[in-house]
Amino acid sequence: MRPDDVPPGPLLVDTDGFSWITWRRDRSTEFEALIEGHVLALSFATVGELRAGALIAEWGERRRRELEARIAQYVVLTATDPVTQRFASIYAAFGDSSRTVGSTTCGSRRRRSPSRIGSGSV
Amino acid sequence: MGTVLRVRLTGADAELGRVAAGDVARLLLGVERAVARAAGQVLGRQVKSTGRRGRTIEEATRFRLLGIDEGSVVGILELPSDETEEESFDVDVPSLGELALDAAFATAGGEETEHIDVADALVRLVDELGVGTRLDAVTLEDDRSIRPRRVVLDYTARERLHELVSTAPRTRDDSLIGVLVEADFERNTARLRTAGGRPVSVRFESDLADSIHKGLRLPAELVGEVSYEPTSLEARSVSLRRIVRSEQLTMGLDAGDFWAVSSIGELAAAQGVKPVEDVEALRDHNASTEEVDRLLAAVSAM
Repeated sequence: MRPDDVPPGPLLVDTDGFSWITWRRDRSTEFEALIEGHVLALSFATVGELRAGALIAEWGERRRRELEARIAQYVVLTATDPVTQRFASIYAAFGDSSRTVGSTTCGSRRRRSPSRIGSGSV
Repeated sequence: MGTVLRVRLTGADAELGRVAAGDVARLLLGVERAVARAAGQVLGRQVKSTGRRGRTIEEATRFRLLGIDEGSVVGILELPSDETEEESFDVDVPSLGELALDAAFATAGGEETEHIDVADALVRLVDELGVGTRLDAVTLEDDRSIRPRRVVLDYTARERLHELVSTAPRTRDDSLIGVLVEADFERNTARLRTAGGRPVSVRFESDLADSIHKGLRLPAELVGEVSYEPTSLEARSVSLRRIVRSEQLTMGLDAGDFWAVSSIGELAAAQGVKPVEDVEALRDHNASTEEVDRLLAAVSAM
């Protein structure tokens, strides 16, 4: 995927994408070029996963504060009626193939490839 | 008369008329600092590296200089004897000083490896004196009639003590999440099983006993001074200041306005988030590879 292939507007980043960006993991370099100029968003479920991961990994208070500072660079999408409506319609239409939005917005823990990260309004 | 301690400098310049006056001062003060820290260990608490020491420790380890031997640099120091006001101390002062001296000798000689702050003071002493460069060694000797002790702090000993200090668990103010699985209310200790399943020993003051009791077998966040294993960075112990119990952990959750309709643009404006201009702003450079691995492994297991 090239930057030109990314539609304009905000991008929803999942946990994998967040780790690539934040800690320069795996496909970090490839991914960075795609996100410049975009508003980045995380779902509340991704934020919950990251926070739980930090607690289970026994990250100290200082590390967790730094994680929060990184999360604060993203728009956090909360569990609202429109989000669950969107998830419901996509899930009903596509079933498991709807993970792109569904798993990041409603907490179903499924792994996704970066090219499938949803974008635009939710 | 109190216990006499001889502190000897050896090396090319370690003789009267050649030795730097500052080195003699550093020698005497450094020894006193190490013994004071050892007294803190005897009393069960660490002596702060700066600031006024507790009165008991200060009085018990206030050496008097009896003399300096001619021909070499040997400071002759004496611990306080029984002339101090005994009723003002919770332990016998001469005994504490002698016990502290025992502990200092044990650490210097390698028999005692738990008194990290004493080892740190000894490393600082030999470093300030340039042992291994300007001078050869510092030797400590006491005058006990039975089994008098002698320990040499040369560069080899310095390296051993430095390793002890550098590999000691690190501590910092932090918090841990887990379940309090057991507690001993006579010893004021407890055991936390962390979210990762590892045991962490807990020390608490008596005024926290009720909180510990109420928190047993429940998830809780323990706030205090946490000691970490330096290599694995795993928490080993916590000196407790506060407990956030399970019910408090779930408090503060706000369902928010579930029915609200907000665009991402509106949310971004409300949260102060702007388009990415510099990816560096998104990075966390401080987390170690191991820490990130642990977090991602935990997320993958969800």
